[in-house]
Amino acid sequence: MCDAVNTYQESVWREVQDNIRRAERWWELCLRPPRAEVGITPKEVVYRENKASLYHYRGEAKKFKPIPVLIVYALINRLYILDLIPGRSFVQHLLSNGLDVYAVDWGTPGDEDRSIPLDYYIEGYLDRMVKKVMALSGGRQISLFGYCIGGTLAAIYAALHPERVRNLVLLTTPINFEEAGYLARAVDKEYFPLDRLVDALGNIPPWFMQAGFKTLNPLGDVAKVYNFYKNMLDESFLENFFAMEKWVNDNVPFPGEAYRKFIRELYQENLLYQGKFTIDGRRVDLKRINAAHLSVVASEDTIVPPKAALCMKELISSQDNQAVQLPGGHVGVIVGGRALKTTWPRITEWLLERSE
Amino acid sequence: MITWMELSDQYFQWWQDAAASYVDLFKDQPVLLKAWGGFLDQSLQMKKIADQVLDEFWRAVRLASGEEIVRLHERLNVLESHLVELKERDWAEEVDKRFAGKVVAPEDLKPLRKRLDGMEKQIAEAPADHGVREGIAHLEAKLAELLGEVGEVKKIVHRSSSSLDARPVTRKGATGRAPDGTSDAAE
Repeated sequence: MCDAVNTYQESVWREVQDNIRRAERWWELCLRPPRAEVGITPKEVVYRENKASLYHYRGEAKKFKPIPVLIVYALINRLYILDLIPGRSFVQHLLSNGLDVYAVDWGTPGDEDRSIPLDYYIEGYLDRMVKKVMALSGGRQISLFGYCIGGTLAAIYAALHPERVRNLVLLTTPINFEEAGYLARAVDKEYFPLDRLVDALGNIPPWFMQAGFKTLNPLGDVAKVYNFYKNMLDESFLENFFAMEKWVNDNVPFPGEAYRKFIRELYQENLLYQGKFTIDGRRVDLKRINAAHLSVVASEDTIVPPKAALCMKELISSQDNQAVQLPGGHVGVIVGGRALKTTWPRITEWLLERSE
Repeated sequence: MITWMELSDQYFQWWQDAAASYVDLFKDQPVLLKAWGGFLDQSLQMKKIADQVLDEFWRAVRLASGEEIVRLHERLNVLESHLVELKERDWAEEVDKRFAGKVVAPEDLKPLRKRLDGMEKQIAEAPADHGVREGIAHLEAKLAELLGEVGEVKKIVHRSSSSLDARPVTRKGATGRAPDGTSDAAE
């Protein structure tokens, strides 16, 4: 009994000491807020049109695989989540395994970009970037890696130009929007004034998008603060935490007309899944995709629930066709602690086997 | 023996799970979503009216409204995209396609010339707004450069057009996009 009391007293005393150290650290952080250095992998801009840029990452591998990888990122948030900090850079991981990596950075749309249609993002920007990558690598095919909405764009592109895509990797990519959970319900045409929103705001501002994601998990911020309090004496946790915070709060507007089409035809009418979606007047038939395909979905994803993404496997005609469910949330599945041991090796090995 | 932090973790987890179930129940209510949609609709209507009033004010003091400036920038964007498209186009392939189809190339280039003239006209007619003046000058320089390139292509086509009939077909003629848009054989 006496031992138990002593142990408990020790535990409380240790906690008091930790709390004093936390208070000191908190004060230090307030006085000198750390600056998270993100997107550290050396890269060069090999193509630019308006705000969109195509990056070519420079790796240290002596020989790269002949099939380059083109990362297509979403039209919201920033690309550097895939190249966050040393040790948490998926791009760096691909490079160190000998893959030649390019990435599409859509940039920050201004008011003048509000009329750019979704069609132009795919058949204009993306198409030219794919051609540029092919020209630079000297090949006739590439691997497309799409994340979130970027995956939807990549899948549409692969359906329109199957001959150019050797491998298609989709990470937490919504395809069946009827299964898109709360976000699909929140933009239901019965409640959501889509036209009024685009007409009044032009581009959809980051705060609006941010509010939508916050509503998905209103308690997420409380959990974040609690975790911060618990781990604020751990320097590596802090480095990762501030880098993530920078990314979470570094949003870009969604171009207005592209948003209108994206929400109406994909979220509200689910046309892509039904095979009725059109780009520049061309029907997007996912059955035309014959590239080797890997879909990675996150088991705890609330933005793109697994059901919304797993159906891709059933919709295409690829012989080499896989879909896997890995632990983590929408972002955690690619930058979380577990991702380094699960998602990264899984995707890299899959690509390496198919990039000769 | 459970430590203080473990106890607090357990309590936090319990609270989070309990609160999440209530929050989920609440946020999915159609009534709430409808009310939110209605509120958003009204706010956006008010914003639109406020924007219109502000635009009228700028016009009244003989200054360009925000809307006009944005439209101008939009036009510049479109022009830049056209220029990039023309620059990135594989001209050798274009000429080859025309030979393959045995079509006299100078006539083929007419629509392109017309398009470039149209762009020049657009640039010339664009109001010389202070913020955009530099952009237009830049685009004009690009256009001149591009016109030079088009001239070069024309020369090649003229030079080769005399021996056009004798030239063997090296590439299948380019076919347009299929009407239903599903065929991509041309590419």
